[in-house]
Amino acid sequence: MTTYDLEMQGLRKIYGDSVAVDAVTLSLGKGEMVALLGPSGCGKTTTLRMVAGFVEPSAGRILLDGRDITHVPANQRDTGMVFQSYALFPHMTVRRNVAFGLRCRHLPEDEVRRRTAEAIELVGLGSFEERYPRQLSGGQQQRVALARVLVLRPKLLLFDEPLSNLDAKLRVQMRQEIRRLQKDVGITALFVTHDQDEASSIADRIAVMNAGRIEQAGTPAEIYNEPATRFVADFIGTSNLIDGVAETSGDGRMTFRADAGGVFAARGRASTGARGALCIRPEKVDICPPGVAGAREGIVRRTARTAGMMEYVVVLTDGPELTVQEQLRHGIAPREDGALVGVVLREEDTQFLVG
Amino acid sequence: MILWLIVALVGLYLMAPVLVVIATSFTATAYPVFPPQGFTWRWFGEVLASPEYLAAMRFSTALAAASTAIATVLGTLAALGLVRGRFRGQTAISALFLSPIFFPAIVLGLALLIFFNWVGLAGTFPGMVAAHAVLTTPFVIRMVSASLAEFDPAVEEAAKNLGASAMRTFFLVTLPLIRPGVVAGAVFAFIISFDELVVSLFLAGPGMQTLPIRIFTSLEYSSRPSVSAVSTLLILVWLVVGVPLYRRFLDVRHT
Ligand SMILES: Nc1ncnc2c1ncn2[C@@H]1O[C@H](COP(=O)(O)OP(=O)(O)O)[C@@H](O)[C@H]1O
Ligand SMILES: [Mg+2]
Repeated sequence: MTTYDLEMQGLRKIYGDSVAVDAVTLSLGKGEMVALLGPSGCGKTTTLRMVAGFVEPSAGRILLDGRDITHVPANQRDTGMVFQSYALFPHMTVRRNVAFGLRCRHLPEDEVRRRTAEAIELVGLGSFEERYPRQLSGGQQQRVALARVLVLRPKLLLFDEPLSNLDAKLRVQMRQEIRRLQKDVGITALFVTHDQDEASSIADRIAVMNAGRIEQAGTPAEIYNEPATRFVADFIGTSNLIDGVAETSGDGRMTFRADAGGVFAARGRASTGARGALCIRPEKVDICPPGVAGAREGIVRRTARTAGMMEYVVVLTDGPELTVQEQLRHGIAPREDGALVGVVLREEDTQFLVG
Repeated sequence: MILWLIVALVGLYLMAPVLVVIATSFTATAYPVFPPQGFTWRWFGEVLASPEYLAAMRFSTALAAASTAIATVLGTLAALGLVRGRFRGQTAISALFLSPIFFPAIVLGLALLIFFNWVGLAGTFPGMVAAHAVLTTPFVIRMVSASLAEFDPAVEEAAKNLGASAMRTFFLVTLPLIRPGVVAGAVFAFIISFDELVVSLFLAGPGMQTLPIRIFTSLEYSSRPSVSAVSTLLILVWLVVGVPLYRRFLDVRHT
């Protein structure tokens, strides 16, 4: 008995002499929604299409519910895919679109009718049954695409950037709706996106992809708070990345000497002399008056105001530059350009990344 | 105003041959003249009572129908392969498949005659059908390719993903979506075959008269207004059959 619904083992796809997907290994637990997140061209769609059966892997295996489906034809995989373009059948009404998969399974007509109606009701399109796709808005078409796969109760749901054609407001609303539906039906899902907000809000876990590889997989909080690689730190949110070398290390704690100057305490493991970078999130740095015990000192170089927040670039007296964010509260005046300030860097918020 | 005048003049220029033919088919003289003199239905009666003309019409219809059927199936399959397939030399093969459109008909006719003499198809009905299919298949390929290129291949993938076999995907999804192209290709193929003279002249066996051959030969020996009448009938048929098809399948999509 396996606890995973979908397992990808060492999946690779090579086009000519370029590697689109390189040894992707990832497992999805039953009912779990995992987002495959990465910049455009990193291999997300190719990975998803290998799982759906539209792309033949160059190497590796795909297991669905313990069964090896690597070489099973796409129409026998029991996956439900929602396409970026929705890919509805333009010559069929909503009802016939949703019934299509059931008809392929040669189910009795009254069952087809009942389940189709239920699925259309589930996505809230009860009064649109007889419309054609072109008579629906983008959001409604998206719902039809969802109903069309949910009605089959597949083993796995696959989403390829399904929200990227919607306007910003609808996108946020559909995110929540997809997540709610997925949790209601309890079907394992793989959700491809290049939008980190979307990934964080929709998925239980995120797998961050870069250049064909998964750099890190974890909960949204893990990915954000403990990025495993420099790429993840840079891609997710904003990070200060300070280059330098590891000095001493042990017990998951270490000291680090920045190329620009200064020695810092950080979390992480590395052999002495290993090159890497410190990752510090701008909002985790505290800014205070100069001279506070335990604080470093620096000079404010640039200030920028965003909604409810000030962002400063502080050049530390030690050398490195840090971007720092500070919430604007009553009674706190924004810091001036050129002001001398104190900066508190906590060891637990400072992470060493190799590379 | 000036533009309107230009459009009217160009229209008149393009339509003039048709108008001349229609007008002369009613002339009371014993030879076609323009402007026509007098008015008579006689030439239509003569055509419809002429066993030669009727046989030629039947022959051309059968020939066009058979070659259109072949061209439509072959052309649709070829277009599917050319647009959906991924293989080396695709562009070259595409160009090759469309090349009969650009060959001079006389070269094709000669080539087919020599080849058919060799394989024993010259002067036979199947030979004529095959030759006409060669002429018309490229038009089907063009039309079907255009409608294939227009629709999102993800729609076919969606069908597969929902469990449809390749056959089911083709008949329930692909074919309905490329139907305008297929029908337009078939109409084109039929018209071209029905109208074809040069290749038919090369390949027709004894007693095999297509309507264009019949019109051509009757002009050689005698010039009677019945030739105009037959042409007028042809124009009428296209108005009744061709124009509605054109409007249904070439103008408006997926209604
Ligand atoms: N059919 C193909 N032939 C050749 N290269 C491809 C093909 N499909 C994708 N690629 C390449 O593989 C890489 C990954 O593509 P893709 O999976 O679409 O990325 P993503 O979805 O993350 O944007 C890209 O560099 C892309 O150009
Ligand atoms: Mg993609």
